[in-house]
Amino acid sequence: MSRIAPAEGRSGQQTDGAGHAIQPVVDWEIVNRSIQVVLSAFAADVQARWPYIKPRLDQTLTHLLLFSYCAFEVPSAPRIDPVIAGIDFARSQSGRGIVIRADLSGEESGEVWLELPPREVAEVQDAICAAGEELARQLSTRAEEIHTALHKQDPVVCP
Amino acid sequence: VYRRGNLTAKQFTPREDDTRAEPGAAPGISTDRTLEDGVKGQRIDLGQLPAGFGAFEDDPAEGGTEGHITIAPVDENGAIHQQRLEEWARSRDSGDEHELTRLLLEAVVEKNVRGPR
Repeated sequence: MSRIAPAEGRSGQQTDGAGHAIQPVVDWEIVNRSIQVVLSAFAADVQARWPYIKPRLDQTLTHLLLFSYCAFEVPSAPRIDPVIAGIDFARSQSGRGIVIRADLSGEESGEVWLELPPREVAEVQDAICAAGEELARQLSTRAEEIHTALHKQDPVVCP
Repeated sequence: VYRRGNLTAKQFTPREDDTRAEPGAAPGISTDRTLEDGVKGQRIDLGQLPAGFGAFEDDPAEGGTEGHITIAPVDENGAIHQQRLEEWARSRDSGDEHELTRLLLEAVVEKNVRGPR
């Protein structure tokens, strides 16, 4: 078995011929923060409408880049599969761009409730942030889908 | 193999229920050789599992499920490290990401794949 190298948290990180670090192309922590601002507002909206739905804002940063998300869960019914509003960033097949995908899907079941058309942008910080925020804003208009996905699992606990 | 669901720390941390063996199945994180139609999952290459993990295939003859494989921490002899598994499961709702969760997330070689329609 071979061990996988831990994530650097950044992409494009290289050294020059003298071993000096070259400024990274994308700082994924900054990208995540920009997405989380949009998802935080979405979470507040959902919670105001359905107070029993609790948001869990988080990120997963690995060698496969960033997955920034908000999980909507019902703590009083832990068997209900939380709905993830997720923005995923991955390298394009050509390796020269970043593909950004957004969906609403079950954290454990993997059931996809809503999927937005993906976007592909150049590996440039501002472009990645702008496209990711735009997809997060589009997801943020779909609060009803979050509620419906939870309601279908337990109409009593999630009226 | 595929871990059904999203690439979140919680989904890559076992539940308390996962620490108990079922007939024909070892305890641990559940994965499957295939993904159901349209379902989202995370692909893990068992050949690239980090050291300290083992993969255990169900035995259908003993009541397990065909194509179901569990991933669990193992000891130096390759046997499931039950104490470590239970410690890992206890971290699930703590809000802190356990080191085994981090290692398993990094073992994903293809993220957010969909089962064939």
